[in-house]
Amino acid sequence: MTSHAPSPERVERIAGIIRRDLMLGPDVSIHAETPLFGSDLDLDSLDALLLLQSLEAEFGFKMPTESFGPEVFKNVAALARFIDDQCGGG
Amino acid sequence: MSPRWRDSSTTNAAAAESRATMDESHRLLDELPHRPPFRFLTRVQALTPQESGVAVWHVSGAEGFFQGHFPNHPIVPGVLIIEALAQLSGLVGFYRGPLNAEDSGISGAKDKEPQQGKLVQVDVRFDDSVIPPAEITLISQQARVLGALRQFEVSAKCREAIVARGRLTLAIVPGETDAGA
Repeated sequence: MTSHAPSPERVERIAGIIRRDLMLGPDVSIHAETPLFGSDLDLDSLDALLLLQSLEAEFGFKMPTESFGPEVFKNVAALARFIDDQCGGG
Repeated sequence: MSPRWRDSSTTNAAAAESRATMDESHRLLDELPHRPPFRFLTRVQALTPQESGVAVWHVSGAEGFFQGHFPNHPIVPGVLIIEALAQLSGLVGFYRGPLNAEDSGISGAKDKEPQQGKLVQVDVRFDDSVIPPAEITLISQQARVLGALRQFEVSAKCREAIVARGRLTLAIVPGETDAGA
């Protein structure tokens, strides 16, 4: 996975999908450096898998099986970079 | 690479190569921890471990649950179609292949520890009811892998029509020894 800075728009769209899928209230802050595991989001592995499914539909890419590791879920920015890679750019 | 296919209507040569014989089908069914009356696969038509599988559930109409679902108006319970799809997906995701996989006609990894899966998530819609007697063709394709989770795109057909389709997710159960769901 590349280490470029994802676009704020990409991060914002991902944050919106996370907020929708996890049914989070407006008081939960989601930003680029928000960890996906162990923070207020506190995803479990099934949440992460279903989130990937939503992101595939939203951004129009197809996740190759076993193409990613836990670093993808380090935080929202890492997830955005991964999607940039899958979509061929930001 | 092993032959693969996408649904039971596929008739090309590659799919034919991967079709399971009756003996192999029985052996595969025995890999499941499920036993009658809670095994909803009658035979396995094709299996490519970690990729896809096709199986058939023959519903005669004499099964006990039709006494209640529903009296004088039997309908195959949708939850049992989901269970059948989960059992097939368990074979697809966790069956590691026989010791003589290369000779069996069923492609698979032969040197892996057996695993068991449990159903952790279901998102399936039903397009039509199934009235017995019926032969339900079950199709499962592994779509995503994340850690111990395996997500499958599944569908069920009856009389050439899709009756159920969607996704389900199985998780590896540590320390177990069969391909369950």
